Amino acid sequence: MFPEPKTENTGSTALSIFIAVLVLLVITGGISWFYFNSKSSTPEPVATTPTTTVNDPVETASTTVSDALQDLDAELAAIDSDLNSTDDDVPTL
Amino acid sequence: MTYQRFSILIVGVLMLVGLPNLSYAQTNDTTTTKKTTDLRESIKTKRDEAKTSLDDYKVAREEQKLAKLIQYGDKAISERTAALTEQKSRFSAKNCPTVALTAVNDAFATINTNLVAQKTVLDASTTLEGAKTATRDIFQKNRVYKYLMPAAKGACIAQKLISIIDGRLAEAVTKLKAAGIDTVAIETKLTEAKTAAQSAYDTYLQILKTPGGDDDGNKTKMNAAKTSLQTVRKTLGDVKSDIANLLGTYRQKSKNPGTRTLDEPVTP
Repeated sequence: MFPEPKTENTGSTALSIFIAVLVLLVITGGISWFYFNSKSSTPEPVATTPTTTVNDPVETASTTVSDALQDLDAELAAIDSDLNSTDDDVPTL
Repeated sequence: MTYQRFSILIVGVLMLVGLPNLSYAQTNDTTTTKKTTDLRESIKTKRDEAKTSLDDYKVAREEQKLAKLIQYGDKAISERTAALTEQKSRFSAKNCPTVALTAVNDAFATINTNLVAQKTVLDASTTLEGAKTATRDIFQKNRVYKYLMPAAKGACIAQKLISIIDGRLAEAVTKLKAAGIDTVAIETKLTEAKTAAQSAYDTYLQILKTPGGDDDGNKTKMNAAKTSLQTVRKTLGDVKSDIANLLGTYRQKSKNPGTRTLDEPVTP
């Protein structure tokens, strides 16, 4: 009198959706892989800021000085480390 | 069952989207690590050889001591020569202005020549005492690690700072002046910074010319040069703040050269 529930069809539909999603993810993953790798090897894109601002020494002075001070700090640390070196001490002969 | 499939999907998403990013990040990390590879690590084989040779000398029988000491001295020279070559390759026009680079290269060449000459003396030693003196000279007359290398680094950075002061920062002052802004305070600080950088450079040059022998004198000079560089650091930091404070006024004046800003006095 009542129809039997269709359990087999539901399972195969879910499997199909699952496979479709997996394929989609593979494609997405592939695209992002190519995107990030090409991004790392190609040169940085030219900034879209107007040339006058980018080349203006007043506008870039802060960055110029910051970069220079960063280099200076790194070198001072390296120099201090060298000064404490014992590699020039004469070994006991 | 549904929960299990959902978990697999989440893991799949993380792996597929995350892996490319991870590989990208790893590439960058490797580059950074490669750049900062320690000099001593890069000549590890030579250092190990010298150390083994010294150990051999220490345990050698009396009649073998002379030969073993000469062998050790030669290894020590070889290690120092390798350190010089490696360190020299790290300086280029990119991180060291030409004038400093020339001085650094000359100093490295002088030490190399000294080491070659000392090898000849050491190899010709006929007594153990003579060989000991020659071996001590390898270290004491060529303070490669303690003075030559740091002085070279110091000379390069000092000259680089001078280039920046004379270059981009001088240009900035010119632009500020052209916009009608008072730059006297900034100019004074830049002069002070340049004088200190020049003083540091001159001191490092002196050390580069005599990196061996006068240990106490070189130590004093290294400290003096460091103090000068710290002065440059402070003064340039002040210049940076001064320019940043003037940026608003500068932008306004650059846009409208004729307009008066709020901080300007009104002329009757």
